[in-house]
Amino acid sequence: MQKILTKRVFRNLKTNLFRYLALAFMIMFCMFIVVALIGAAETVIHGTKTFHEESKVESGQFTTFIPLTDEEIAKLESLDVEIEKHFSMDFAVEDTTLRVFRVREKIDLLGVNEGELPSKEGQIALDPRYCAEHNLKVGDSISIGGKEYRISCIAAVADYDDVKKEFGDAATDCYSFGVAFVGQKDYEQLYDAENRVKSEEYLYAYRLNGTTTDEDVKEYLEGIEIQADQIDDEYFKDYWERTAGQKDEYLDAMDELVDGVDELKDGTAELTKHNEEINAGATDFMNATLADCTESLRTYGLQKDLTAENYKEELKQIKERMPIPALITKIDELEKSLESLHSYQKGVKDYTDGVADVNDGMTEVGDGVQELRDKTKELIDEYFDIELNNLQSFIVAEDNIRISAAANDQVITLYAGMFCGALIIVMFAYVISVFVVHGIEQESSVIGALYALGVKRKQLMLHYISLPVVVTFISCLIGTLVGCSKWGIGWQTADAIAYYSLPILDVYVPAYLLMYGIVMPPILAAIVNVIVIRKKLSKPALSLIRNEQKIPKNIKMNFKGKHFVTTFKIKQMIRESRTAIAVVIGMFVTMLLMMIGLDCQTLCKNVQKLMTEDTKYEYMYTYKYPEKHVPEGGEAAYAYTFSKEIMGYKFDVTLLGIDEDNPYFDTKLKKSQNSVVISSAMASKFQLKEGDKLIVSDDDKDYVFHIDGVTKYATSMYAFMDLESMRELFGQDDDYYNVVFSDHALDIPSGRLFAETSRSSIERASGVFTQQMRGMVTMMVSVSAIIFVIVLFLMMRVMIDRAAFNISLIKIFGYRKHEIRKLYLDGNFYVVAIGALICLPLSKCIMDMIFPLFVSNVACVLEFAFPIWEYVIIYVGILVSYFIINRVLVYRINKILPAEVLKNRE
Amino acid sequence: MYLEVKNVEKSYGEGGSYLQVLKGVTTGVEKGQMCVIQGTSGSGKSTLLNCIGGLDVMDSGSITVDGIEIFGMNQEKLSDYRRDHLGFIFQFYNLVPNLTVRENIQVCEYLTKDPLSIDELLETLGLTAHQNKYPAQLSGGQQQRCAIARALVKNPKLLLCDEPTGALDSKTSREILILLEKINAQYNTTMLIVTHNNCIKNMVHKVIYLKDGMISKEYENETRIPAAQLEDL
Repeated sequence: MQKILTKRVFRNLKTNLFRYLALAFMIMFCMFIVVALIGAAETVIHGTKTFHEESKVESGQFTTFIPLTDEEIAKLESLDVEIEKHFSMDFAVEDTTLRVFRVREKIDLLGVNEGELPSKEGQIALDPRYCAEHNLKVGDSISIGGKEYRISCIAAVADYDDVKKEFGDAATDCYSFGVAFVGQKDYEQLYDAENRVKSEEYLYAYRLNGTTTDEDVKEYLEGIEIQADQIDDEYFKDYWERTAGQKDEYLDAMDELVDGVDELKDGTAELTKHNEEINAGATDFMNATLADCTESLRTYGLQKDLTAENYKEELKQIKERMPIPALITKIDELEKSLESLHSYQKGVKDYTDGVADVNDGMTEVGDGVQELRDKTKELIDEYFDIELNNLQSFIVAEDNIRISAAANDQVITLYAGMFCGALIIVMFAYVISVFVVHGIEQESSVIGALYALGVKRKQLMLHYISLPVVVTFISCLIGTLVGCSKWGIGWQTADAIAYYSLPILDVYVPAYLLMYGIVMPPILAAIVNVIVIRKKLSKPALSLIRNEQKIPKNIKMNFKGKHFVTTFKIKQMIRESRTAIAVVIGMFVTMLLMMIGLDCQTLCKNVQKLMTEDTKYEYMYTYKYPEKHVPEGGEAAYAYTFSKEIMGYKFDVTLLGIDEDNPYFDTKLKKSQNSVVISSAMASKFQLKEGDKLIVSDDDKDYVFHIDGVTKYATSMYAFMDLESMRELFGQDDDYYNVVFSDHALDIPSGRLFAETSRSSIERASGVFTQQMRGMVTMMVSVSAIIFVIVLFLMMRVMIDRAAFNISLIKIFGYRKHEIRKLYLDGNFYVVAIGALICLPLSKCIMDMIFPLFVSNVACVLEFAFPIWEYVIIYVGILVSYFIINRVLVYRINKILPAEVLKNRE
Repeated sequence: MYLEVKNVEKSYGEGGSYLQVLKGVTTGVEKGQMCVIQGTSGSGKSTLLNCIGGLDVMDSGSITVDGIEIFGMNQEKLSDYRRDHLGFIFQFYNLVPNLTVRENIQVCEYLTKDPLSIDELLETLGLTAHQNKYPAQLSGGQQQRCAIARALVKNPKLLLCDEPTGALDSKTSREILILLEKINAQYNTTMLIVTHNNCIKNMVHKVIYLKDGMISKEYENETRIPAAQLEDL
């Protein structure tokens, strides 16, 4: 029996060849896309991992103000830490920048894509993305620093997987920036060459081989004290002298003060020592004068002994008793003279007493100044602590956004691919079940007869599911195999890594992907179909022979008064609800897929548009060593970088202190150290709003700010604060700044800068997203459109097949083509129109919630809203697809001959 | 002659499977007549009915209904012809299962600007109480009555009945035949009935026998017996 049934399977296939071909094409196409997506993701992830192992990827990297000494390096190596100098210099090459390194020998080795590593003078290796952007090939020449170099090799390095110029760059612009590698001699020659746009960066890469941790390395490096005079960089020196270099001056001044106080103390002590003599001298002089006066009075016969205490009284009595004019004149002279001497004696006494007091006070002053010096020294040591540390920056590989960027991106693609694949497989299974159920209903009497003849349900079930399962299996097999080929994974991988600088990756197909692509869909299709048809086949044989129809449920709809055609269409839709559900499910799944593409496109477009709109300045200069005065025409700001984590990824966020009258940012800021206004980019990325708390952290501690508002600025993750308040918060001088904005180019030496960002470079970089994602967007939109059209076509065709008898019947009654179309096809219009009205916003909402996960590693504004006309276009596109399919299916309706169908029925 | 069939030939298949079903059939039916076509299986009676109904295309010959030639009409014209002139009744009723009795009748009511009253038809056919039931909730006779109502609602001039009692028991068959007789009288509807049932020939105006694709005998029935009095149905 099973053999006979198997024969029928082939005949069924022949009869419904077009339907199965369409289904097979859709399954193959979808599995091809899904396998290509997942396979490419696996290839990139696995390939990157392998490359990292082979190229000895760093555990981390750090930069120093001055190169480490041999002893310091030896000390690190003794801790089982492998270390290599990755010093670099940036050169202007036409309108681009090339960062030149020495060829690595121990860590982050070059992965050669083409050619050979530079082994001779004048040879250079370039990263693949830069070469691709500039159409450079092995054997071409490139001029750097006034010297011609022959490209001997195109090579990728693990630490520039994502060739970002700076860690804080929003996007990678491989046209404007690339990395190059030369031999030792060439590097030395380049050191003095022209066109160098940045001082040499002292970057070291390290690999942990033993028990030493990243923290240990960092701790050690932080312990290395810097010696200012060892630094060659003139801008650093200038900065040092204005800032940390003043420390010694402060300390010297304090020492001088202490010395001065000591000297003063000694002097006052010396003075104090002579106080008695001075007082005694004054007393002696007074006594001697009194004795002279006493003697003079005796010449006038006056026996009076004058003392310091009585001379005033005695001389007064003499003048009263002897009013002789000559005597009175003499006595007045004596009295005046004694008066002066007495005052002098008192003055000397006061002076010596004062000197004694000063001497006592100076001891206290000396102690106080000594204490002042000690405390000042402590304070200065603390205040200038960072300047004593040679470590400029430190980053572990896990936090380095240039490393494994492609693989991290693909993790998202991997999950998205599996999610989409699962959705598509479920949709297939449902679509197939509609076919199978239709087949069973059509053959109801045959099945009943077979039951009556003793055929078992199991045999029939096997018979009915075998064809769709086999078709699914073969389609999946072909789709998966093509997906695994160079046209699938190869093509998708090329697209996935187009943004990144990676070595040539071998296609990697994990075993699970084969299971996912080949085995899982037919199994799922079988399971869904068994569940669906089990019930259909469980009817009694007689019921099946009679093809007894289920009496429609008493639907509580009032059709009275409704036009017949409307009633008929509604009834037809209800009758075909299973098919309608398949259409709506198909529409929803395809809408979701389309929304992945459209959200991606919208995000890219919005990022480009908003970044261009919101960037009001022409140049932004980020200082490494700020000048004392803000350059003419510049607007000073103070930037401090924190990190903030979301969805497992850490992002740099910048607290930017600006003046209220800053013309480049439209914000109203409070004079407060606790309040910030955040950029729209930050608000959307971190799901923050006015009134929330912004919690960020630096190496040492967490900071919490109150969000006063959100300002439209999509370019960067900024939290704006009043400049003065920010200076106070971080204890900076009243005139401190480290960022300058300007509406024109300023003449700032590049050696002073960390980065120079122009509006045009932001525009170009923001456009990179759109450019890079174009392929993926086109693919997702096309795939979803194709799936939608096929599903809609198949389902509407099933509806017609199921209605074939009724169509033939009403043809007999004299219905015209357009009337039949109206009754049997136009009802689907409501399914499609209403389904699209529901599916479109629903899928958009769901994808808007999911999509941030897909771009969780990208630091940009998450603005997915697209204009209403795009919804209208999609909606119209759906309806147009429907009308085209409707037109095509009219042909099928016309093919239904009334007499034949009646004959078949009877 | 309301219905005129001249030298109608119809064949199916090619080569070894070639089969000529109608071999130059010529006959006619007057307006208002009830006519029965009888014959064994494979004699071509249903094929002839299908050709008259414009459901099948004859190879050659001519069929005119009320002066309108069918041969050579395209599908669109045939649709209009069926719509304007014909009503069909089938052995297995062929009702639309998810439409109620009334809605099934409405399917054909929609096709004409001047339909008969559905309520009146329901009353005449005894279906008023069942008008909101679905076909699966009706007996065979009720379903056939519904099919008759559906065929009559557009007041066709020619009613083609293919084994109208073929699936019914004797009692119900009689009821249906009485009904057809009543309709013929009431609306002067011309009727062409294909049947195996030998008794039905007694109630109609004309009888045609087909054998191997040719008319073997035809005659006007002068002694019609009312359907209610037919025996051995």
